[in-house]
Amino acid sequence: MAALKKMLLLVSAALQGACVATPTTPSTESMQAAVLIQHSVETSSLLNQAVSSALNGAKVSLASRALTQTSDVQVERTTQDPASMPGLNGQLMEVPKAYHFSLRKQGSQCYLVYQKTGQAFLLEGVKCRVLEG
Amino acid sequence: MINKRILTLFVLSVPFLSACGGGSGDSSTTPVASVPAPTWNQGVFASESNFKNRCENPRTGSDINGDAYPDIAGSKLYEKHWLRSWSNNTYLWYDEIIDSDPASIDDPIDYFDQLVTTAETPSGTPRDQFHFAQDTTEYLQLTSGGAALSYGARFKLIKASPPREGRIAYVEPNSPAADANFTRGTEIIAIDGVDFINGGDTDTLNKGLFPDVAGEEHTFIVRDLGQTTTRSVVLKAEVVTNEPVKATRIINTPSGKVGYLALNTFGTRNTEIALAEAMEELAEESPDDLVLDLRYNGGGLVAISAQLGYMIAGSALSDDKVFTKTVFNAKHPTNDPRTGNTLIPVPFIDTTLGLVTGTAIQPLPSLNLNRVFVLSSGSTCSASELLINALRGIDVDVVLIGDTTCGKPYGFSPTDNCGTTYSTIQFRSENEKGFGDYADGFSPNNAPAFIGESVQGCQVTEDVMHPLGDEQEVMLKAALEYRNTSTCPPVTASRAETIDVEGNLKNDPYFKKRQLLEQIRMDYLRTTYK
Repeated sequence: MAALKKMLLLVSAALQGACVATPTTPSTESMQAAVLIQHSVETSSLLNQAVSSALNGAKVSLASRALTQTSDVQVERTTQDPASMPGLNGQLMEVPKAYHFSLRKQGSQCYLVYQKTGQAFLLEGVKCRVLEG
Repeated sequence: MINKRILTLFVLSVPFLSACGGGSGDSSTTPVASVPAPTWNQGVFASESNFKNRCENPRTGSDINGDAYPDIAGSKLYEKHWLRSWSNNTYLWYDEIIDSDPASIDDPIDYFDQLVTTAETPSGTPRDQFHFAQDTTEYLQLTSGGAALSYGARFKLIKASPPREGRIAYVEPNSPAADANFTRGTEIIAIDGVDFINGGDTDTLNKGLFPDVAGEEHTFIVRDLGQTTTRSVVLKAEVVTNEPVKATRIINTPSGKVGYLALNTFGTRNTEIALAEAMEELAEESPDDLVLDLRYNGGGLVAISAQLGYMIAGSALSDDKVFTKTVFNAKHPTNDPRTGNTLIPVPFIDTTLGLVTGTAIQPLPSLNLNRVFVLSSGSTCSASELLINALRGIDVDVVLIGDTTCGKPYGFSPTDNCGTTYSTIQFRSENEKGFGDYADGFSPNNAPAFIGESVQGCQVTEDVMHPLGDEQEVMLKAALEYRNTSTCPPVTASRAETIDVEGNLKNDPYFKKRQLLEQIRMDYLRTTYK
């Protein structure tokens, strides 16, 4: 298990080294709702990193095709069971708290915006398009 | 009438009380720096608040909500004393824990492993199979829409030892498996050049079945259902969103309309709307019966299960009735020890709760049925079993078609201390009639040596040779036949197979780690222990 974790960390670090989600403070008022033009492992990694940064380093695993159809995404604590403990999370009395993010475009740049704080994360190298209608 | 507004507030407010660091729910745990180093007096338990958040390695900085971690300098001994007192206060079978000196075991998690009952169920299964500790950052891992790393296909190992048979059970839409035109029944012939049926390289096969990281590619040779030729396809793993409702349809029979609904999870917010829409679609046809397919449903949010209970039974049967009641240990007969709040039973819920942001609270449809056919398996667990038990509690006839359910009438609030989140059983669940004793699951009563709570119905072994919702699909077919004749198909051979044989995929340690193994492993546990 330790080796597996180490490998995951290495892969994650390698992917994140290619391009970095940069937290910025631009005005989000002039930004337009957007969707990703194409999903990829690299884009997912960047989005995960941005969400993680907004949430003080939380582990994040967005769906690979998130933000390809809609400009908003909601994340919450996973209710998947650990592989070694099936059924563990099967009886949840509480609804996990949700955190809301939006993809926005300004000029040629794409940003992930944490709705609670308004903080925008520049997604360098990511291509998106303004959502029509 | 049970106050549903209070319930709604309960369901929606608790996470905000418990969101910090995994949520202890203990509002009186501010550590006092002057507390002396703990000592063990057998059978004497100080308040857990004396030991909370006093850590060997205190965390610094902020949690995901921006709140500062509550940790202060402490020691492993403090952490173990907190576990000891917390377990004595909240563990459902606290009086069955053997009190041992925290100083006698070094690691807090090893000590926690001891704080558990050793009792067994009538079938010989350990009564507590849900005692678990994990890193809090893992517990708090965030996903969107119940997403998980996979190809978007669930594999069913019909036979795990050579000659193996592995087929697709279902496919998630908008996923690599869907893109590859996999369907239920697609047979696996080879993975990454290794013969799936007779090959000896189980490591390669398991790594192909259960990828580790997004972007990982594996080459599959498959045979589609009804075809004689094979084809090769490269699958690239990604994080796939789970679709809760897999099929909805109306089946017209000479004796009336039968609704069919396949629901794979209660575990995501999206389930609320998807389920309400599916039930609305069925309600428009006013079916005489419902076949509810929960064979792959491991549970999830109790509130959504309670909504489905209402949508099946309707107001006449469910108003003023208990869906589930939480019963804590004898120290806490009226109040929740985690919050101090007065215990309130969960009712059958007749409205949406706005779990999906932006959706309004609306009345739910109902079928007003006093009978339901439930398709079940060893993967039918927790909130799914809660639904079965709740409906039986208000005298809705439940007919069980399939296999014994998993047997989890228990729950808890995972609780963080010093960066580890501990899950220990804190309550059991009872229905309107006060019944909740199904730790061995619910079993169709025609099973040759059934275990668990006996329910009218038929034991049927699943195959995957027809689509879900197809009238020829073996479990649905049995339900429809039982509905007409009250007879069951002949009981087929047990699913039990010898695990410890060479070449059995389930023998491989790698296999046991994989995410998609969850439900398969549950089947394995059942055949092994029961």
